[in-house]
Amino acid sequence: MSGTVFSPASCAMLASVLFGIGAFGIVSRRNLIVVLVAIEIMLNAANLAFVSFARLHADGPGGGLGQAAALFIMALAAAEAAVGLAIVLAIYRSRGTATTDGVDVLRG
Amino acid sequence: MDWNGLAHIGPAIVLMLGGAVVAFLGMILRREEGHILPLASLTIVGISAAMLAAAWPGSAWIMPLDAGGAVTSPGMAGAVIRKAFPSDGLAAWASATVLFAAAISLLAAAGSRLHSDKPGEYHALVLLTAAGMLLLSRSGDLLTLLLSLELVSLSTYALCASHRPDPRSGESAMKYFIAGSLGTALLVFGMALFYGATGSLSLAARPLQESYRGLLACGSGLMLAGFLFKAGAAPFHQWVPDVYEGAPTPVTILMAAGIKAAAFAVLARVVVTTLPSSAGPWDSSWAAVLWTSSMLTILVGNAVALRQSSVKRMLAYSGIAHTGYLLIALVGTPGGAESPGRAVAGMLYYLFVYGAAAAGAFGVVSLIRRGGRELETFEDFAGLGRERPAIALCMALFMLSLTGFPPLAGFFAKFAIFRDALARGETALVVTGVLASVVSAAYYLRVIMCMYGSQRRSATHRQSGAAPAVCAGASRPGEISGAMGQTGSAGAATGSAPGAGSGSRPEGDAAASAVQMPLSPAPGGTGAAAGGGRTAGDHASGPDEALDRDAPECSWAAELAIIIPAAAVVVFGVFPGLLGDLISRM
Amino acid sequence: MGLGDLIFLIPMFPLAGFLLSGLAGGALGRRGVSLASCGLPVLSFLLAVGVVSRIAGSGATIEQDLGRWISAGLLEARFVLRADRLSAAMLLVVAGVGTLIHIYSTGYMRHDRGYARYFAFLNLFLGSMLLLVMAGDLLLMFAGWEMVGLCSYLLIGFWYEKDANARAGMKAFVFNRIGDLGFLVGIFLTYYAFGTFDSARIREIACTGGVTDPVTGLFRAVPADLSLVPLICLCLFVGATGKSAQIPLFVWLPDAMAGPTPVSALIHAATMVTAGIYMMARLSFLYAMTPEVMAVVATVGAATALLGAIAALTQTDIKKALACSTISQLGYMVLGCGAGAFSASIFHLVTHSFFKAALFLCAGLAIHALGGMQDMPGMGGLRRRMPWTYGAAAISALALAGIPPLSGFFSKDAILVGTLGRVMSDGPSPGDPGGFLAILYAGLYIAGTACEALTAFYAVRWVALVFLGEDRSAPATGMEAGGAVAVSVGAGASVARGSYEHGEGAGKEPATMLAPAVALAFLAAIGSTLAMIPAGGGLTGFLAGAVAGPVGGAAEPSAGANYFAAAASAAMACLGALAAWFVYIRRGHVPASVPAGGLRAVSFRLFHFDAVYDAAGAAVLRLARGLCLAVDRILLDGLLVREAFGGGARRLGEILRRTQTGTVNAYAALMVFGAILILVCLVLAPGGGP
Repeated sequence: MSGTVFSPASCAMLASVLFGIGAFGIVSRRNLIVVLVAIEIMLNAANLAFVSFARLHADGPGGGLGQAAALFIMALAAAEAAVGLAIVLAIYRSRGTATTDGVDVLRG
Repeated sequence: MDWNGLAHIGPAIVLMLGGAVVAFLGMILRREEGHILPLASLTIVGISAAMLAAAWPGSAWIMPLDAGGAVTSPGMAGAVIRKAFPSDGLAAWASATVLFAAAISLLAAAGSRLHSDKPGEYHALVLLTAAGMLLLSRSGDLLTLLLSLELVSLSTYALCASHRPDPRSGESAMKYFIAGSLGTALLVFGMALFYGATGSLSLAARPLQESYRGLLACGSGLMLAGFLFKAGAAPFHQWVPDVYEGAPTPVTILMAAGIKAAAFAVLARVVVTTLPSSAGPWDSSWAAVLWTSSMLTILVGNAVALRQSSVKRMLAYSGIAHTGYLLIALVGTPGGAESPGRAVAGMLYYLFVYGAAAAGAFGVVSLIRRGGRELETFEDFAGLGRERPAIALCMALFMLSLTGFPPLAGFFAKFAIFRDALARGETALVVTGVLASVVSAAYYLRVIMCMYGSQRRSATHRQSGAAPAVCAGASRPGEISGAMGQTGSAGAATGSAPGAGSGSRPEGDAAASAVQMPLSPAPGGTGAAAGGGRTAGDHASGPDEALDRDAPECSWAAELAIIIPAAAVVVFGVFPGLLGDLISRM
Repeated sequence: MGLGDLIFLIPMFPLAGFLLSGLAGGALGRRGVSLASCGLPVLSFLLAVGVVSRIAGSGATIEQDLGRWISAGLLEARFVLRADRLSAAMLLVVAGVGTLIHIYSTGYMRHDRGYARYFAFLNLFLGSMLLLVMAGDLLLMFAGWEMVGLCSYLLIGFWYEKDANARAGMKAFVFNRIGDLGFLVGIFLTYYAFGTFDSARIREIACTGGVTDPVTGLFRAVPADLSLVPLICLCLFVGATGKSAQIPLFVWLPDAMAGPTPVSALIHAATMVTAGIYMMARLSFLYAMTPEVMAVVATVGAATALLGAIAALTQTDIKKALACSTISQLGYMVLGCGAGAFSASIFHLVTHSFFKAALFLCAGLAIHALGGMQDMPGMGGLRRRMPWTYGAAAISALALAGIPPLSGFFSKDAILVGTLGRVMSDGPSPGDPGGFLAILYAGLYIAGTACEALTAFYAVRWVALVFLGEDRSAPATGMEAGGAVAVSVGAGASVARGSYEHGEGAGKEPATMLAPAVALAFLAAIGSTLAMIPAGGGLTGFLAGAVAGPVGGAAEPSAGANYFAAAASAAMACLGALAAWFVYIRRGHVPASVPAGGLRAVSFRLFHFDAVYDAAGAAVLRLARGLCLAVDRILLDGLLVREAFGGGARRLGEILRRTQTGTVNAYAALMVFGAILILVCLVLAPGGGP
């Protein structure tokens, strides 16, 4: 399997790139919805890393663990998205906008 | 069914089931029966605590974890639970602190007039958070660790947002959510790399091949970042002041006292069990990371706390500073064979002591109201020593304990951590910590001086002494000694002048002002103007208002939420032996 | 259960009395308090007699180990009480004289409001001194030493309502503390040098270079730093100058008369000032190793003897004159220690405690009879009204004067002979080519002998002014009395009156007060026999093994020197006594209450030591205050706290506060940056990298 484009190592590299994109998104984007998407990208990057490493360890005793973890993280990402959207909604209701701009009463 | 294994997580299960019951109760109870919810929640916490005490681990202090993979024999549910949730002294003491924090938080919520429109959900979320913290503190497996951490995080995001009328509540929830999700993402990705290197999710896993060590180091590093975020250590600390200040104060109590304990428990477990396994050549760099973080945290927390005008925000920064002191206990711990137990025992004592003092101090902020608002600025505390002597005494005890003043518990906690760190050779950290503690006295004692040193201006128009300057001169906290020495300085008069001009705000009836916020929601208003307006408004309207009297049905809870931590701070300082094996291990 | 197991009771009896009177004084009533607080010291005295007879018979040391007292690491101090010949002799004196003074006090303090408190303190005083005497190691001795100091403070300031009394108590305490510091440093140095606090073991190590196991008889060498011995001896001597009122720390003693007169008697005779002499005798084997320190000690002693005697010449307060005399006599004892005649010093300590206690008790009787008057020019003629008191006082004063064959003559003579012995033996030696020490001791001997004349003069003067001549008291109290009367009467009478103004009236001599005085005078008269009986050379012989003998193995002075010294001192004493007789009895001279000026004033004011201390103390305090102020205000508060520390922290806080922008994206950026930093740190670590 190694040597092909879809080797676990290259999948892990892809996951890292995705993770970096997500992190950049959180840092740079002001729109709360986009920030939520960036968070999802990061979690999915982790998922990708988990399943690719599960493939790597497929023959070992912990081979199934990576896939199980990916499943749990999917559920977790869904829960995060739900709570996150609710919070964004609350912000939008009280301020009429859904950006991080100007949400800085608490500071200093 | 293997009940022995179930006993490990029994307290958490009780809390979860109780959370469901409370949520259901919240749906069926009428509004005037709302006081049942706090009682029910406290009962559930009590049952959980009783189960924790019944299953108190005997001898194991930090249970060694086996590095093997999954449990293969399917019928051994108890064995699985025991493996995933080891029961040892570390977990038990952290759990005790968590339950203490939850109880104080519930009392504070009952005592404050924080009535969210869905009280059942609020109490259920508190219980779920507590359950998550219990599980977090005894997670021996990365998957359970992640899930319990998320249980805590998601519940807390919602709790932060639970005070709808206050826009700051929503803002704090949003900030906590975004920063927290980033932290979670770091943790999860780190776990993935860790899994890649070890093929296991056990905390004690070893790299499969020598060439995986780099991968393991990256994974552990990202995980460490995630944990440092939860603990509120620099440079992952910036959410702490905003969230602590914006969240409803009972939730702040839960975060400051409970989540910190759980986060440090899991951090200690990682440092003691995981890091050495990935150690090898990276051993010293782990220590360097923790060392740097500890140093930065102490400096940032104390320095910025000096510059605060809001007591609640000052307490938040002080929480950061104490995170720094706590990190000292973990620096270099993997290095010594004997030291982990001692260092971790000192850390747990510190967590409990800090939790009690912080919970009590936030409780005072939350429960004593002036004109329907929480006591916010230093000036709001002026004259409290005369108006509410018992409460002021408790607040003074909290401040002195946080400073580290003997014979209060805070002193012995700091002493234990510093002494142990000195024994490990961390001289620079200890010197910084001690000096920072001295500096911290400036902002802690400022609260005491405001409470006792000055009177409300309404009562003291004639005497403008130096003491009001202590409170009014919020921007110059470093000059307290100067203000003490120079009675009647010019700064006193100018500093406290604005309050005199403004007319006294008519006091609404207690119920109405309870929900009334100092700042109207101001949709679309610019943040800068809003922030400035808040501060100015506080200074202008605060001084002439009398303290609100507590509503009769809540006052017992409010006072308990203050007196119990105060008693803990005194008793566990004077009789530390009451903490039994924890002290003997320090 | 032999006597050896009971010696702990000797100090415990008075300490029990302290608890009894102190805690249950009200319940016991005056009679009960008197019974308990006099009866318990009597028991101590009887036990002491038993101990002495045992020791005199067998010569063995009685030791009792009451268990561990302090344990800290390698340091261990055991609570050991020990009675050897030296402490046995002291026990007899302390318990005996102390008991007599207790009995006297029941009369003197009869009407005082603080009766139970007084006796509680008195018992504590006695018990502390007994503890000090019996202490087997230096730490326990220090405990007793401090307790004695505390009791002196409590009793000197007993009538604390009067400001001057409280201040006198404070003064005694403070000056004693200065000496205590020296003592404490000496103790620590001793421990450093010898590795033990136990005085017997220190002696063994110092003399033999090791310890011999008492059971197996095996000798084990113990390395000891003997080069420290001179420093140790000096430090210990500083302690002795405080407790035993030597130059320069003597100034507290004249003021200590502010307490009730029996307390003065106790302090001067039995319990307090003898502690320093006893301590030096106890450690005499250390002093014997350092001739240079001995010379210092002897010089200080002789100077103090002269100073005290000169000061006593002009005192007009009945108690202050005796206090100056005590300073002088203590100087003699220290001179004896410095000359290596430790047993002679102890001998003088014993006789001195007899006649000085008797004199103070007589003074108390006189004050009592005159309604609180203490000014001698206002007294006179008490001989007719108080014949028994007069007799006791006269005998004691002559003993003090050193008129043979009374006890004072023999004990002082022993000291002077010892000093003369040093002159004879300290010829030019390798360490002292010029024979400097011999010349020094010759000078000291001459000073001591000259001092005899002064002693006799002031002793006779004291008797003459108080008991002989015309009765000047009746009209004098109000009118003639000058400033000193006002002062002394003011100090003593107003408070003292409370204690006896309801008494039997002037002229009566209550039996409870008279009997102890007469008994002590009797002892003062026959005390000389201590030099002759027990056959083995008197008290000196009794003590021979317990204290160091003459330094450098010097032979006893020849018979000729002995006779010369005795004749010289007797002649000097008679000369002084005759002179005083001529001035104060024959001519009937009565001094003014306060000398007008000149040399008399210098003597009257004790060479202005107090004024110098006041000025120096004030100057030092001013200097320290200025220094502290400068350091605190400018350095600590100004530079360090406000600028460097506080200012730095504040500026840092302001900068960091601005980084908290309130925008969550910025927080996330910092977090990502931190995570990258951690990864970089780990990857760049030595040997790291994927």
